[in-house]
Parts: sequence; C-alpha cells; structure tokens
Amino acid sequence: MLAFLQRYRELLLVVALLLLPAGTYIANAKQGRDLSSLDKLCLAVSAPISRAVDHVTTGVLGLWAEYVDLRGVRAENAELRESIAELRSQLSARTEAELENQRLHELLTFTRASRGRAVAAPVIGVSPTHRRVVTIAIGKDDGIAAGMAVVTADGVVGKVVATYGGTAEVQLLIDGGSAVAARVQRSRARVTARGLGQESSLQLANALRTDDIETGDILVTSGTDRVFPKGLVIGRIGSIQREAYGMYLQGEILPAVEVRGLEEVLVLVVPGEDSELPTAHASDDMVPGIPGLP
Amino acid sequence: MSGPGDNNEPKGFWAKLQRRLGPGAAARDSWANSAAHREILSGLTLGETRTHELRSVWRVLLWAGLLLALFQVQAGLLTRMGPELVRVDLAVLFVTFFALRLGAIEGALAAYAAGYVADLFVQGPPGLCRFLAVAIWTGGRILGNRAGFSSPVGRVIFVLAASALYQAGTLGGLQLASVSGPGQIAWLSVVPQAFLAAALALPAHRLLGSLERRTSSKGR
Repeated sequence: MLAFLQRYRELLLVVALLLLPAGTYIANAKQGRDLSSLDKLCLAVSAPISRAVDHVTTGVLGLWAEYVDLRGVRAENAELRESIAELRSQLSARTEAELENQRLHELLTFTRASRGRAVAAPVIGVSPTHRRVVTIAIGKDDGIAAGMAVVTADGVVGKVVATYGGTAEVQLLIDGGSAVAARVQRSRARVTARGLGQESSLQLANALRTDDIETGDILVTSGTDRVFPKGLVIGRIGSIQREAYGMYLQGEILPAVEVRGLEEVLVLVVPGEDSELPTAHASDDMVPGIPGLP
Repeated sequence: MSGPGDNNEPKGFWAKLQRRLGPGAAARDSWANSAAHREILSGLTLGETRTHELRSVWRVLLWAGLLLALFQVQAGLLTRMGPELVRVDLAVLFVTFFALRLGAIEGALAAYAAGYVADLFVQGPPGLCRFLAVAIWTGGRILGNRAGFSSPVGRVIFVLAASALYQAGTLGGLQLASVSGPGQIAWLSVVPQAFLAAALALPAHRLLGSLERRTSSKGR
C-alpha cells in the first residue's frame, strides 16, 4: 500500500487537487459565498498593495490630466498677455483722450464766457535753461504777439515774450523775471505777484503792512499792467509775515496753475476790455471750488 | 521508488499518466538551468528528483504570494484605469508556467494555490478557479511534450488556449452557480483576454523562470 502511494503520489495528489475543489464547487455552487478566515487574512494582508496602486494611479492620472490641461496654457498665456498689453494701450489712449477732452472743454467754456478772443495752443516745449519759459505751437503766423496774456481755465500762466513763425515763447508766472499786478479778491488790496523761479510759489510784493490780507485769500489780476485783463486768478496767499515795523508785508503766493503738467493753454489775442474774466466771477462765487487752487 | 529511467516501470493507463505527470518538469526546455534541465541531470541518480522537488514545495507560498500581490496590483489599476475587458489573465500565465517549468508536486500545489488566489478575486463559488487551474496544469503537463509546448510558439498557443478555456470555464461555472450569471458582456472579454495572455506569455514566463532559478536550491 505504501509502495503504491509512493509510486503514484503525483497522480494521487493531482486527483485530490482536482476532486477537492470540484466537490467544494458542487457543494457550494447554489449558496452564497462566505469568506473563510484564511480568505480574509489573505485579502487583508494584500489589500494595502491594491490601495497603494490605486493611490499611485490616481496621482499619475491626476498629473496627466493636469498636464493635458496645461498643454495649451503657455500659448494661451502669451496670447492673453498680448491682449492685455493691447487693451492697456487702448485704455491709456482713451484716458489720455478723455483728459485732453476735459481740458479742452474747460478752455472752451472759458473762451466762450470771455468777451475777448482767445486762441488755444498746445505746449510743445519747455526751456532747458534756468528760465521758466515754455514753447507753444502757435506764433506770429497765427496773430500772436509779444505781451499777450496766456491763461488756462485755472488761471494765469504767463505772457508771450517772443514769437516766431509757428511758435511762441511764453514766460511763466513763476519765472524770476515775471511780475503781475494783482489785487486781493476779498479786500481789493493791491499787490504784486513776483516770480521766484520756483514752481510752487510766488513772492507777495508791494503789499502794505496795513493791508487787509490773510492766509488763503485769493489773488486776481488787477489789469493795471496792461498785459493781463482784470480778474484772472493768480493764486492763493500761502503765508504772511507781518512784522511790527516796516512798510511792507512779506508773503508767499501759491500759484493757481500747475505749470509742470501744462499741456494746453489759451492765448488772449484780444482781451475783453474793462471786464472781468469768468474765472474771476467764478472765484467770487465759489472760492473753494476754483480748479487748480490748493 | 522509481525514476524516469526505470526499466521496471508498470504498464497501463494509470502508470502512463503517472509517468507523464511527474516527477520533474513536463516540457523539454532548452533554457539553461531550467527545471527540466536540472531534472535530466538529476535523473541520473534515482530518488534525487523527488527529494529535490519536495525541498522546493515551500515555493508554493512564494508563487501564491506573488500572484496575490499581482492580483491586487491589477485590482488597483483597474479601479481607476477602466475596462475589465482587457485585464491580464494572471492566473493562467502562472499556471501555464507551473505546468511547463516546475516539478509535479510543486507545480500541482502551486496551480492549486493560484486557483485559490483567483477564487478570492472572482468571488464566485469556492473551488471553481482552483479546479480549473489544476485542470489546466494537468492538461499542460500531460500534453506538454507531445504538443511541443516547450517551443516559444507552442508556449504562446498553449497560453492562448489555456486562457480561453480557463475563462470560459470560469464564466460557465458562474453561470451554472447563479441564475443571472456573469452577463453577456463578460463573455466578450474571453477572446481579447486570451490574446493578451498569449502576447504576455513569453515575457511573463521568462520573468517567472528567472525567479524560479533564483529560488531553486539546485539552480544556485
């Protein structure tokens, strides 16, 4: 018997390995399957592998999906940057046009309201020297002559000091050689606004110590210098030193026109005679609302 | 005790079957250090083959563990990557290798273990995959030399046929066991899976053969 088993042990093993599962199958075919302890152990031990693979696969697939999503992003990014640059350029041009329109509108309103004739001109150059002079794009050919007043809707800019064919030079109010006859709008005290060569201030000159002048008072042209018509805004009194002795006051004037950003001006070709210009009237009524004044 | 070269071998069907089944590997394999190669060399000494084979039985656990791990890998992949129509027939790749390269006892037990692992994942009636795995192993073992399964082409054909039979058997078994069965769509997967298994047969067997040589006490 032992010899038989030894001789046929492979055959017997195979037969057993075939019959055992066949019997198990036949016995359990119609029943639901219950996992044995060994089954559960095998699955529990090996399940982390499946989870790890799932985790890695999810990560790789996610990476791939992101890569696919990102493929066109560089080109799209470049395209969008180009669009943004173009839109910014358009926006800048539009803003510029809007601001220009606003400035020209103010000049137009000023011109319509004034009795004289004014010619608008763009500022095309600034003197590179110590002199506070700007060049405008109208000149002798346009009927411009030296001595004409140059203003904006905000107030006095200066006066024409030289003319050429198509251009003219304008001495700004802040130039060291400039002086304008002025009057304190509130008290009507007569003073002189003299340039110091500084952009942010003028000198208050010829103001008597006894004059009624206070900080914040608005100065307008008096019209007595025969250059500027009466009533154009020059600026506002900044500070005053009233000493106990002496004949005159010392003071500073803050100019109404910001010369640094000057782009368009009006040249008063024929100023209205003995009439105050609209900025002066406006300043009488609405002092805090005068544009350009600090 | 008798070996392959015994002149006093008993005659008859069972004796023939026994000779075909073992001991030693069924296929004459040209691979260096293959089980068959070792069996031929070891066959010079009677009794040595069986002793050696018994020493290799521990590897059944190795094969089962490896297959279990690969099944879990495949399960993890299929969870995210989709259609089960093209899953790899791992059990058949292993069982055909066992039939061609391993000794009788180790091979039979390993085939049974492979069937057991497959049963865990098929979730059908217990014993179905175990029976089919051992049946395929037995078929490969008996027909191995006659059908020329040792050649690469023969091996591919063997895996193709084995996979088709295994899957058909599994689906048929499931069909018999339940009223609803696995469904029509499952049957569509038989052919592509069999071809995929056949395509993977040579590289898979080469890898398994490499592992078999590394873990063999005689091959070292």
